[in-house]
Amino acid sequence: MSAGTQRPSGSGLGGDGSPPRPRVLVVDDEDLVRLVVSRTLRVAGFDVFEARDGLDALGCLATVAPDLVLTDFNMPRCNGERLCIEIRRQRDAADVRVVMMTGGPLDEARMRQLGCDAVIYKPLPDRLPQLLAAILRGATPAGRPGGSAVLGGGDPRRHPPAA
Amino acid sequence: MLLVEDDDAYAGFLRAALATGDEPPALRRAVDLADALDSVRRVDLDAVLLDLNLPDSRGVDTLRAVVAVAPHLPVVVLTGVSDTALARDALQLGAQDWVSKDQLDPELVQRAVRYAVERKQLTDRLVEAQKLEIAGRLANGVAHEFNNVLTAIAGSAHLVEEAEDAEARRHALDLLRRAARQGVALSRQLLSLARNPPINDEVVDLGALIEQTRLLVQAVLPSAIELEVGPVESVLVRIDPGQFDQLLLNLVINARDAMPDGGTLRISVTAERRPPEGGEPRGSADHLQAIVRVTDTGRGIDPEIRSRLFEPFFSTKGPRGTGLGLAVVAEIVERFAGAVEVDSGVGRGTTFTVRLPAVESAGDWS
Repeated sequence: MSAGTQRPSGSGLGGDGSPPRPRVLVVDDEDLVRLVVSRTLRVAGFDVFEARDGLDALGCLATVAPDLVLTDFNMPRCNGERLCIEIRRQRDAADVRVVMMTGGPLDEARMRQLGCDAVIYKPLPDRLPQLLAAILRGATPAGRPGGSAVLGGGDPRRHPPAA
Repeated sequence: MLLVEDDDAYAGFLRAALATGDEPPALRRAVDLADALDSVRRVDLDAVLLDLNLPDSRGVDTLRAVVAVAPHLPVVVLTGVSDTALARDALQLGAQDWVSKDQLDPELVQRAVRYAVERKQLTDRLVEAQKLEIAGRLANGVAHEFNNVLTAIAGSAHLVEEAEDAEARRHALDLLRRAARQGVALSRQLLSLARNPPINDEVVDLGALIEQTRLLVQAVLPSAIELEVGPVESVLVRIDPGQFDQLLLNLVINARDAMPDGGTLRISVTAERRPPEGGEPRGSADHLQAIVRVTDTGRGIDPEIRSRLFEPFFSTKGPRGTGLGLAVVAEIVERFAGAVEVDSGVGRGTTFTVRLPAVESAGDWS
């Protein structure tokens, strides 16, 4: 298990004394992607934890108790699809959002069936923190900024606003 | 064309025989191995007619010396009367054909030379054409890898913009540089595969080469297959790195296709010193070999089809396979004067073992 427990730095979603920061588990076997994405989210005020692949993520899911899992699709040992299936087996959509990242084409309809809330294409947009915040709020993001495509968006009733 | 023959009378016959053909070649002559190797190194040749028994070298060692310097040059071996065992050994070591010295038929000599050159050109084209197939299979995986690199580059550039202090900026810039380096490594791999003939043989550390190829190998593997690389020893070989990538990727794709439900693919590189084997002349010294093993945990290969594995256009993959992958592996291995073996059991997976002659030190060939 490689879940980081670093406190986020900088300002962002959670100010002083404000509601708790959203907890995000970033899952990617590519070290650089995981580092950069995690840092970006930390700077934006998320509480970020890291896992190297699906198995690693499942191992720390209970302790981390993330609000959102941002996972790569193509990983060794346990890929994003199997991770998503297992998360949904354990916890329903109200508990945790699952966002899939991919560097190639992906069957979005199938991802939705599996309980995945959104698909984001690499290279990831600069607005990643805002997109994740919107998904956590349950809003459907408008448009497809920065080469990203987001599906699902979800039902506003499923999740309380994060901020 | 180079004629290596110390016997003046026989050399005279061959010269006359080749001169009467449709396209008489420009002929150089060498009378011993040192002279021959000098020409092979300096002159652009289409083929070599090689007497194996020379004043300074005897038997297949003569051929081995020529192949080591010019693995891509078609060689027709000149053997003594009815020495078929020697002829067979020569073919195994990479000679294209052989002519026995009692066959004093000009047309036969012309034909042997013509066929040797044509056969070499055909296999060259086959290996070239198959690169396209590999490139197609790589495209999807490489796009994934590039998108990862781009994610890291774009993301860390954004982090630089957002950095609140010098320390944060330095950290982000470091990530940016690492991402760029990864992109460079990936494009270098693609370029080495795309490199066209003339073939560039270099003395390279095979262990280091395998580590560099890891990105491309990962790119052709789905997530259900775990890649294990090791042990990787440092061992020098004289090869064309682009062709070696092609060889390795063919073996990897083959292993991948044997594991549709996932599994483990292991690649190792070791150096081994091997005594002479059967088929090699007695008295040849132990030689250092680089051993590359590609092992899968797939379904294994039926014994009935094992003998056909390296045949061009033989495929068990239906419309997905062209049947060129392993044929090209065999061809490239032969160019590097190596050998490829397969060990497989139905249900227990398959190991392909590639043996390449190692260079004892980088200075050996300079």
